[in-house]
Amino acid sequence: MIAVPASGSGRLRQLLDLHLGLIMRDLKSRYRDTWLGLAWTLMNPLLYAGVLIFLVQNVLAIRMPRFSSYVLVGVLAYTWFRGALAQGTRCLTSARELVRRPGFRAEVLPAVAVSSNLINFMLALPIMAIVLALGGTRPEPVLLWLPAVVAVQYLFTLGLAYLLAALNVVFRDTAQIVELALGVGFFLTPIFYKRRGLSPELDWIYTINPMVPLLDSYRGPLIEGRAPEAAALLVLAALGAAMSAAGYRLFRAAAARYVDEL
Amino acid sequence: MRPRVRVEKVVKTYRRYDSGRPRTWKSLLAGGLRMNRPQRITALDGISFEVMPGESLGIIGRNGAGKSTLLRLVGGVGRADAGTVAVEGRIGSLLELGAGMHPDLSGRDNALLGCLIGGLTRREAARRVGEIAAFAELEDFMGAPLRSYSSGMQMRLGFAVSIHMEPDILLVDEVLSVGDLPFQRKCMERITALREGGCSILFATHDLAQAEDACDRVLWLAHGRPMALDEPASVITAFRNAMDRVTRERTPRVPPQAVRKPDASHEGLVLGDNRLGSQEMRIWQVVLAAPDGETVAAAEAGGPLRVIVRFECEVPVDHPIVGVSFSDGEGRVCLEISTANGSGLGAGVRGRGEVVLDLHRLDLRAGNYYVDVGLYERAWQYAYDYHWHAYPLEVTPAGRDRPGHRSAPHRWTVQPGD
Repeated sequence: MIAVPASGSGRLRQLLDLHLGLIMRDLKSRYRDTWLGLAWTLMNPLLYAGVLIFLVQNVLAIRMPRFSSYVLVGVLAYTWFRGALAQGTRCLTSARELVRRPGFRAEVLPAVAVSSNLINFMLALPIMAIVLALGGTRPEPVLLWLPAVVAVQYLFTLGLAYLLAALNVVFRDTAQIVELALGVGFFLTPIFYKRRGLSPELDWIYTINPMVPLLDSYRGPLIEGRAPEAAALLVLAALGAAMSAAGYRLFRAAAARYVDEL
Repeated sequence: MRPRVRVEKVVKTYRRYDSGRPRTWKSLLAGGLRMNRPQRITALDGISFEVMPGESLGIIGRNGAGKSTLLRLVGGVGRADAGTVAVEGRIGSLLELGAGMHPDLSGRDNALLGCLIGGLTRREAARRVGEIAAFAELEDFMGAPLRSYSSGMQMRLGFAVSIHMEPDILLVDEVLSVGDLPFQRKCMERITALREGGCSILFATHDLAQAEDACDRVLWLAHGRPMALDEPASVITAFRNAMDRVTRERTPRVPPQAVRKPDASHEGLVLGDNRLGSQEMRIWQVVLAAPDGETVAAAEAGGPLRVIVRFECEVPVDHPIVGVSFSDGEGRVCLEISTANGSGLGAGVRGRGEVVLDLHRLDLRAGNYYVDVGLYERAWQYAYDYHWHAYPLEVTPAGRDRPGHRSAPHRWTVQPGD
C-alpha cells in the first residue's frame, strides 16, 4: 500500500496538486463553454474600463495623457483584488462538505481563491499589452519589476483572505460587509482619476488603502517607465507576510470551529 | 504490531448554536458583547479504543449517540476537547462522498478532483481513474458532465473514488444503504478486500446484521458514552435487549382511549404481551393476501404473497420504518424485510394509510409461520407498534418438499454424457 509521507516533499506536492485541481475546477466551471465563457469573464472588467474612459473623456471632458492605459491597469488589478477577496472570504463557509471531509486540507482554499482570480487577471494581459503598446509603452528592463509587483499583491491579498475567511466563520455577515467595502473601495481608489492634493484631513483614505501603492507600482513601470517605490512594496510584502502567518493560524482554528458547528 | 488508531479517553463537546453569542457584526453592534458562558453539549465522553491493522471496528448506537462525531474526530475533522486521537497512515473515508464535485465538470474531471481532495497526487490520481470508472460502472459516461448523471450514478462515482484511495484506515458511515443491491454488495466486497490487505476499518452503522457480519469488534455508544466494546454477538445482543427494554418501557400499561376498538384482525392482541410499542403510531389492520387482493390464510411455498399493513397516527411521525418478518412457531426469524433501506415512508406521516409489501416469491419451506409486523422509530430506537405472533400463515408445499428452512429459486440444467 502506498503511504503518503506525513511531511516533506510528498505532502507539499500533494498540496500543490490539490491547489491546481481546485483552480481548474473554478476555471472550468466558469468557462463552461470555453471561448464564450472566457469572453464573458474578460468582458466585465474591459467593459467597465471602457465605460469609465468614455465617461471621463467625453462626458466630464477631462483629458489626461495615456488615460486608457491608466484606467485599464487600475481596473484589472483591482478586479483581481476584489474577486479574490470576495471568493476568499466565503471560501470556508461555502465549502462546508469539503471542509468536513476527513483528510481535506482547508488551508488551500484561500490560496485557490487568490490564484484562480490571478489567472483571470493574466488572461486579460494580452489585451492590456495591446492597449499599452498603442499608448507608447515599449519593452524596457523596468518592466521586469512587474512579476515582483504581482507577487506582492498576491501575498497581501492572501493574507487578507486568510483573516477574512476566519472572521466570516465567527461573524457570518463579514462577507457582505467585505463586498460592500470592495464596491466602495473601487471609487475610493484612484482607478479612473489621479490622486491629487486631497485636503490633508481626507488624505488618510488613500494612505490606508493598500491598492494605492499597488496601482502606483503597476503604473510606474507600465506607463511612466519608472521603477516602483521599493519601500512601499516592501512594506506591503511585510504586511502580507505577517497577515498570512497570523491569518493562517486563525484560519485553522476557524476551520476546526466551523466543522464543529451543527 | 502497532495500532493504526488509538483513541484514549476522548471527550468532545459542541457549543450550542443558539448560545446567545452574536453571530453577525450587525447583532454585535446592536446587542453588544454578551458574556454569558456558552452552553456546551457533550457529544463524546470518555471513549477509548484501539484498532489494529486489518481489524474492523463496528460502532453502533442510536441517532445522536456520537457515532459520526467519533468517525470525524478519527478523520481529523474537529478537535477533541480532552484525550488523544492518534492515527497512523492514510485515512480514507466514505463521509461527505460528493464533496467538492462540480456539476459542470465531466465525470473524469470530478474523479480526478475527488482523488486530489482525498489526498492523492495528480499522478496517482491519473493512474486510478480507469479503475474508478470501471468500479462505478460508468466507463461510457466519464466524458459527460456530472449534472447529466442520475443521483445513483453520482453516488456510485463518489463511492468509487473514495474506495480507491488505498487507505490504511477507512471510515464508513452508513452510506452503504444507498445504491442498488448489487452495487452495495460490490462495495462490501471491496471493503472486505481492503481489510484483508491490512486496512483498518471503522464502521458506524444502524444495520446490526451488517455490524455482526463485517466487524471483529463492536463499540456501542449511548449518549456519547461507551456502553460496551467486545465481540459483535454479545454487544449486539445487549444492544437489542436494551432497545427492547426501551420499547417495553414506552408501551402503555393500559391501552389508552386513543387506541381504536380492535378490528377483526386485532383479536387476541394484548398490549404488553404480543403487542408492544409506544402506540404513537398504530397498526390497525394487517391483511395477508394473494396478489389479486383476495385475503388468504395460506400461501404456496415459492409463490407470491402480499402483506398489507394499515396504520394510523394522530401526531405526525417522521420516516417511520415498516418491518415485516416471518418467524416459525419456535420464534426463529426466517425472513425479515423492512423499509429501512430506502422506499420508506416520508416525513410527517399522519392520519390513516397503508403500506403494501409484495413478495414475488415466498421462498420458505412449507409449514406454519407467523407474520410479525412492526412500525419503528426511524432509527430503530423503539417500536411504535409491534404485533408479534398475531398473524398466522400456513405455507403449503409446492410439490414434494424437503427439509430445510428455505427453498431457493433454482433451475437444473442437465447435460447428458455422450
